[in-house]
Amino acid sequence: MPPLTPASFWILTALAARRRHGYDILRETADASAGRVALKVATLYAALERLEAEGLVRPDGEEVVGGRTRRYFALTPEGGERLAAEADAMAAAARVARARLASPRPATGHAMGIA
Amino acid sequence: MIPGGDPHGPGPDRLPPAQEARFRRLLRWYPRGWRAHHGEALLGTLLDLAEHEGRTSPSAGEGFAAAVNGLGTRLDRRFAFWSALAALAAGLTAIPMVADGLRGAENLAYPALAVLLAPGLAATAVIGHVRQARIVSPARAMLILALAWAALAVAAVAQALWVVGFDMADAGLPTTGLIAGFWQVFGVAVVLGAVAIAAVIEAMMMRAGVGGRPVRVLTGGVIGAVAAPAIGLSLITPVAVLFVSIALAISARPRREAAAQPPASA
Repeated sequence: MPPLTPASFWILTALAARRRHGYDILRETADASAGRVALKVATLYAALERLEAEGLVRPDGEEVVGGRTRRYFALTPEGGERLAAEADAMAAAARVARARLASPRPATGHAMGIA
Repeated sequence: MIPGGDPHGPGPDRLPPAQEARFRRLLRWYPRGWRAHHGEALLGTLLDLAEHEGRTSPSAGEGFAAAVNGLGTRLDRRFAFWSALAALAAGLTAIPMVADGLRGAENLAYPALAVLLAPGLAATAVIGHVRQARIVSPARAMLILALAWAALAVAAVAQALWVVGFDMADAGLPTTGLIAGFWQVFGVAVVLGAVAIAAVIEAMMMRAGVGGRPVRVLTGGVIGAVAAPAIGLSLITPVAVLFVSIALAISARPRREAAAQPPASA
């Protein structure tokens, strides 16, 4: 199973709690990722089209507000499983990194007086 | 950073038609079928974001993203089919030039046909295939396309230097500078081509879930470094491009079941 790209990961995360429309997904991905993911609208729709083709998200209705079409997207069961698996893998990697950081480290060359 | 606010988005304020048309123009980059299916939703999101940011026209970044993704979306199976046929036509046109031996104006016409146009169209067909198979995103497809055409344009210059050098040698003129220039220009073409090939290989490995990013990049780089000069040398004659174009045209030929699917592009 290929890893999710950062953009796909944050889009699926944005849809984990509820369905959202395009602008709402942009806002949520930027907020949830603390600004690390700032998608352009065209890039968002390219990613959504790919995720839809992979069966991870699905369109979930449209509404027209002020003459603007808002298409909602929702996570599919497969998308939820995939996001959970990715989150587990990331958590496992983070645990390993924290364990290594917590283990005693040898003194550096500078501290040992080595030029 | 996307501004916060009502999660359901802004109110029903409508832009004047002339200002909305500035955003709607971005949809023209996309193929008609895609626009019919996704265009209004994409436009609505563009307008929502612009309203929150206080803009009345698309930003330069949005314009660029729409151009790259829209043009990349046009790289599909149908585009691959017609590109392969055009590559075949360009290759066939170049064949008599080789058979007769390059003379006069053909010194420049041959590289333009056999080293730039025919393989460039064949590369376009390959990229159309991998984009349609969703191995690469529309944006990466456009990047690879630009790299491939740049590599072939530089290779065509190298080929022109080569044939002009031969003519000068036949006339008893010194060709030292031309030959040195050939290898330098050919080297630039190989590097550009290797990066294009590496980008395809890396994407294929990622789709297959093979290796981490460093392994994928290294593997793609090695394959590109081997394949690019081999492809470059094969362009001395158009024969290889002819065979590849035929294979690409056959694999991208219109099929009945494809016509029954909803139009992702047209």
